[in-house]
Amino acid sequence: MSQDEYTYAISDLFGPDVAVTLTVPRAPRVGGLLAVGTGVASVTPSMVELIHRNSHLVADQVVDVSRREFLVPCKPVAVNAADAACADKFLTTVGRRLFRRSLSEAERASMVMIAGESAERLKDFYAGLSFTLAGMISSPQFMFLKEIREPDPHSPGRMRLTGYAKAQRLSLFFWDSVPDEQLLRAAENGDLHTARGVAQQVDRLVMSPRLERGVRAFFSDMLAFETFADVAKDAVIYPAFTQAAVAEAKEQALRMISNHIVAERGDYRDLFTSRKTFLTPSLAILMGIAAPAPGWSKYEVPQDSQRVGLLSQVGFTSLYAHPGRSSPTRRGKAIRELVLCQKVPDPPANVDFSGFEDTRGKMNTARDRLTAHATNPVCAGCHKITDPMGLALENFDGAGQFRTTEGDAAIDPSGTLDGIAFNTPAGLGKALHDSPAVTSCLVSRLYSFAVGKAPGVNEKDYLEKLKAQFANAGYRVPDLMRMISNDDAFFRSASEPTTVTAKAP
Amino acid sequence: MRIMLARRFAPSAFVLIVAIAWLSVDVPARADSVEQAPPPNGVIAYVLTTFQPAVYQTADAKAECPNGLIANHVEQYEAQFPTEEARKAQREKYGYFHNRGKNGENVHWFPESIVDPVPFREAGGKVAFGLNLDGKIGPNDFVSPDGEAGIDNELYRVLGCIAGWRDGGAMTFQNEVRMRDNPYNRILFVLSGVDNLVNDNDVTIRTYRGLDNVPLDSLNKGVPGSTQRIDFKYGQRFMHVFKGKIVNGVLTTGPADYVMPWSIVGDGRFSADEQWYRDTRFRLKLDADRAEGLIAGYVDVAKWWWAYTKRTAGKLDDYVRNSPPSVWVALKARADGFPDPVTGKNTAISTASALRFVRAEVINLPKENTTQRVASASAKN
Repeated sequence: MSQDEYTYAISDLFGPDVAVTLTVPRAPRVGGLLAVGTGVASVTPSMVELIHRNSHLVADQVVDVSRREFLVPCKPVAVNAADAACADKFLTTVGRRLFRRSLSEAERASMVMIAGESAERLKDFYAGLSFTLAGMISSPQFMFLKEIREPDPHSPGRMRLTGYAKAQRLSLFFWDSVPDEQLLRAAENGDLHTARGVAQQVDRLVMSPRLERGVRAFFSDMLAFETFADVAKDAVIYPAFTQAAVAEAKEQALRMISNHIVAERGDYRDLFTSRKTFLTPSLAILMGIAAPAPGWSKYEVPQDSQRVGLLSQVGFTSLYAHPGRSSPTRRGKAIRELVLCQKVPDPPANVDFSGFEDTRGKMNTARDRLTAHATNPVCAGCHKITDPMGLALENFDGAGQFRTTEGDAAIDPSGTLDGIAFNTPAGLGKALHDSPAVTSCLVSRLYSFAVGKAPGVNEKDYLEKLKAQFANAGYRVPDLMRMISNDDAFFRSASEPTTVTAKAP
Repeated sequence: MRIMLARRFAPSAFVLIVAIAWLSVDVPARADSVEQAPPPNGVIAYVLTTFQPAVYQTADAKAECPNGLIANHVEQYEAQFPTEEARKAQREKYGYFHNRGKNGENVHWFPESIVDPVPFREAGGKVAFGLNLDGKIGPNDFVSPDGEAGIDNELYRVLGCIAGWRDGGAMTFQNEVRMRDNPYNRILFVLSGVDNLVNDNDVTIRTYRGLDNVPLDSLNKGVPGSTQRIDFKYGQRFMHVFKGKIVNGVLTTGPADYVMPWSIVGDGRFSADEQWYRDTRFRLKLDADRAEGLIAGYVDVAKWWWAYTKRTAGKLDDYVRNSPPSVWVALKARADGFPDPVTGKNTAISTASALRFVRAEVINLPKENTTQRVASASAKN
């Protein structure tokens, strides 16, 4: 499980006030997504210790006197002794949600026995319950997202995901959490093996407020927002970029995304030209304005503002920058790789950056320094594909603050994207809005995120079909999620050879 | 700046000035090098981030405290009860050494219940921070570090040789942290009618109490540009109006009474208090992001004493290395303004404190400050 999946699972089962202290390590990024990297998991001994400790902390909170009244569905005959019936009722209910399947009789008996022995030894029914629950939360059955396959009765000789595995895939995709009771029932009823049953559940999942979690999870992954944890700025150069601002810059981008994609059901392309954002007092300082109110506020930038679209927000411009200055190359590379799904090669190991990094010389602006740097033919190739976009965001310094000059020189934010010229940050947003590669990348990444693997070469036609459907749906991301999950391809195992037949949209 | 002060005013070449060097506000501001644009709509607001009583001090303290720092509470107690037997008897009868009044009174609450046996040591010397409040140059007045004569700062005589009020002392720490971090002490200055931040002969300064935190950078300095709201509900008594002028980037106000929030212990829930200033003036070096300088005036002795030692009731005095009976007597003796019409005794004492502000964006400015900078109107980026 990812950090958010784990946290949401605990929250959905036991309530948002149950504190989670576990920090799940970052998965490797594969095929542009962490979601693909989580296909291979390894756990160190120290991680096991942390999981174990957190499990006890969570379990203790669940059975605490302040919560047991509504989280434990029965009362023991005596609080200082075992009560097999009550323990069975609680553990069976909770175990089903934790393991995303019904418990076997053997599992039930084993857990009730552990709870009973613990209660007798500790002379406390709830302590026994907590001890057993902690074991369940520590279990690989909870921590690992296993996908079990079974023979497909409709396609002899082929395998399919079990109903429970399908329920899990759906809930993770849409809600970033474990299945709820209705999904589990649909899995047990066999509904998830029918197109109609899946469609019914997908409709429900899309309409839920929890859809926002799924959308946030996807865009956090696609835009590599986990690297916010590594952001550090030079406090002398950017005193306003405080620790609060780092966290809020990430949240600002995610609120902007979820508001546009989920709340307003907006066209994905408009995310690059939208003037609607959110801000806090800390972010307002970086944006050079006053916050309308304490805490988070909706905010629409004026028509003459250049802070247009997702990429001009404090989050993107500060994340893809150096600690003490901006970086057209990092920004351009991020746009190429994350938004357009294009690979930018790493720089050669023997490149001399000293000229470029010397900001004291005659070359005042990043454009001047990059132009000189790119005269090196070894460097020029990559810089040609990154810098024209990155330079368009030079009006935002390394902390995302608007500026019109660097040193004493005026900033020239002109650039091109695949032949389309622009001369402002807002122009870059418009060029991205109009670029077919932007929506194509989104389709590919979202599908990859949904199924946990990079698209195969033989899925090209399927992706083309999805792109067409996405366009027909007005580039609404929830609709694209619905299309992906209603297709047979969604439930193919990540390790299963893919054979997809394209259908007409 | 520190070197410059030492060269000009050090009593001898080897004395290192460690005083709060940025108090030297009459140094011309950035007028000579930076052309200051007028603030939008002629209004600019600042929020206070630092308040420190301006205690001029040298590294070895010999210039201002030739007889050393004052005898603190413990030392006075030991002098009052010189033998172990006497101390044991006091403890057995009254429980705690603070209760060393004649009848076991706590001397924080009843400072006149005993006369401290070790004489109080006032700060002396010729130099002190402050302003000429009475317009006169008297024989007992100080000279400012920048050479201005007639400086009135009698509170400095009282506090200057108490360890806790000097650099690194407990009161310095309390003032630094509490005035910055406790929203009870959030002080807003709103300047209106500002045509020019370098020279303007008629500006209005309104003071308010704010409601919001000030974001701090990694060095714990306030970040300019934070959003602030005025506390109209509970902050009425902190609202005052001053008239002033800006010359060479330095704002100087005329005198007026001023009530300042001053909660310096804990989070303010149990020690919310204030200082009452009479004939208050401000002298602040301004720029578009910051204002630094002095508040000077006559502070009400009884109110100051209440806010300082009665509110803390011993919580701080042991750290401040204070002795309440001595300080109270000295305060009353050095009071130099606003005589009581009946007794004729002065009720206020001249003082000066150092202030630092950073620019703030106040989003609920009343109309009296004319128009305001609000998010929707000011954003260009």
